[in-house]
Amino acid sequence: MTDPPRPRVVLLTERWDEGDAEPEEAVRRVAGALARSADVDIVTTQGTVPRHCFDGVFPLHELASAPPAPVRIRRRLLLDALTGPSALGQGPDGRSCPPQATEWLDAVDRAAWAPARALIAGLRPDLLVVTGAVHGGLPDLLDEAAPGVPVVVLPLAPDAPTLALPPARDLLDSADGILVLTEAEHRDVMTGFGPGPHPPVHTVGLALATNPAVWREPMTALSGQDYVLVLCDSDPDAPVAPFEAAVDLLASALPDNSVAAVFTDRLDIWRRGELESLPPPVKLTDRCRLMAWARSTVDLAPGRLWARQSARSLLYATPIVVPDHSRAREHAELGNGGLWYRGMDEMVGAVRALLDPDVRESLGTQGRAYAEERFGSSDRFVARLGAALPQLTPAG
Amino acid sequence: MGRHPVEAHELVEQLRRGRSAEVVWAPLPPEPLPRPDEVEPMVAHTGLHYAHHHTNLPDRPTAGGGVRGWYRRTVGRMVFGILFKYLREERELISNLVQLNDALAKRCDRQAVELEDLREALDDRAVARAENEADLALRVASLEQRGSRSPNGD
Repeated sequence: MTDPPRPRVVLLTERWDEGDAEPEEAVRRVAGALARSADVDIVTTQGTVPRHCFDGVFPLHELASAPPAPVRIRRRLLLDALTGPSALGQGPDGRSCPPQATEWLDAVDRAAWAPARALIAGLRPDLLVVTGAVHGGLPDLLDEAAPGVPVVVLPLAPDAPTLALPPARDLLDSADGILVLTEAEHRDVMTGFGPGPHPPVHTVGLALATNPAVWREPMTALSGQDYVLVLCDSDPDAPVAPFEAAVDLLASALPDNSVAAVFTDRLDIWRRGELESLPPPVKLTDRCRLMAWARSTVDLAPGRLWARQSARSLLYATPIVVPDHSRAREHAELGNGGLWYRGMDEMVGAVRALLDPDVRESLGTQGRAYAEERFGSSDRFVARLGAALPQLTPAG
Repeated sequence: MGRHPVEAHELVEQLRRGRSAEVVWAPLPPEPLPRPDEVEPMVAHTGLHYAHHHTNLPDRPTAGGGVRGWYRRTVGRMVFGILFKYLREERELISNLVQLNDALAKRCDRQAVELEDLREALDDRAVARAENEADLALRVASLEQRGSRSPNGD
């Protein structure tokens, strides 16, 4: 008796590389989970010349059709202008997106994905997975390339305004299913749909590997010290001065504790008013070791998609202190694994509260249970994905 | 698990309540020190003026003419003769008391001027201190405002 044929999934993504950003990591982990039960082809607009090759288990189709750099920059700036805080007076429903902007985005994105039409038609997929929410004209293209094939969208949207842009609305409205990583993203997607009918939206979480070896010993420079870890390196392009001011404030407010601050280019350690600068933790293991032995982790600028550093800290049972208006608050609030703040004085108060051993232990344990459930197991992540995508099973 | 489960939401609210219960610091507005209502110099006191004009008591008996006047002069000379030493000392005493009152009034006025100068100096100092504290308040507010924003500008 032969095994039933595995379903074929085509995953479309703008970028497929070893980038360390949250969206790239999420795409690779979703692709890896899909590959457990399906043959997954990766189609990407990146590359300098069109080519077909393999990346591990994945057949990789590089279309080399991404817009030239000036157009990409213009597109990025336009999206920032349409979704940023001062977004031309735009509300979360995207009502102020000028028609010219929509037309321009459509034209750019259609040109980028046009070479995918024939390729997808030739691959004859059972399921199409689109990563990212803003792809002008993509629903029409997919309908032409693979009529009747279900389309699932992994929006990877950092906020509701991005999901409210007309190209994103077209894609989400036409999808057969939507996968989101967190409850906050789920809420943003549902806000865009309103009360009417909409495709099913599944919160699948992700899987983050943990390394038990980090428990053996702390980082040498912090051995035997009660320290608070401050993460300031989420965005390498962000101005560093506000982070430095926050770390200085925390160090002066906690004279009896050390404060270890991770910047993109250094690790600052404050002990009793003395500052020592060391090279930054390059390896993920070193970062996890810092988290595992800290009293608490202050994530000053959590990742905008799923706040993975905060989630990772919870996996090591270290409670988190995060900004109120961030996706990291979900981890702290739903998981009872940390506290959130609206200003620096509240941040200092929250860190002080977590110096209490009982509070720290309770929040750390609760947060770990939450993070284990949502981010701590590849098997559970694959199971959630399988439940959301019945097309992955032969019967489905 | 720690000894007791901790609700993060409750703890955040508790921390915020504790913070709001703290005394909110603000610079005190500078106010001038209180002044007495009576500002008339002591040297202009009517009592002192009266004393100046009644310091010199008569040193001999005075009387009118006639038998009645002669009789009063005779008795007066006799009384002055007997009490002359006492009356002279009495005049000296009154004269000294008036001089003492003069000196006290002048000193009192001088000290009133000095007290007013001191009040003005303290008022100036209070204003300068309030300005300094207002500047400090601005710096604290700026720090809090900067802190209330997410460092990545969100």
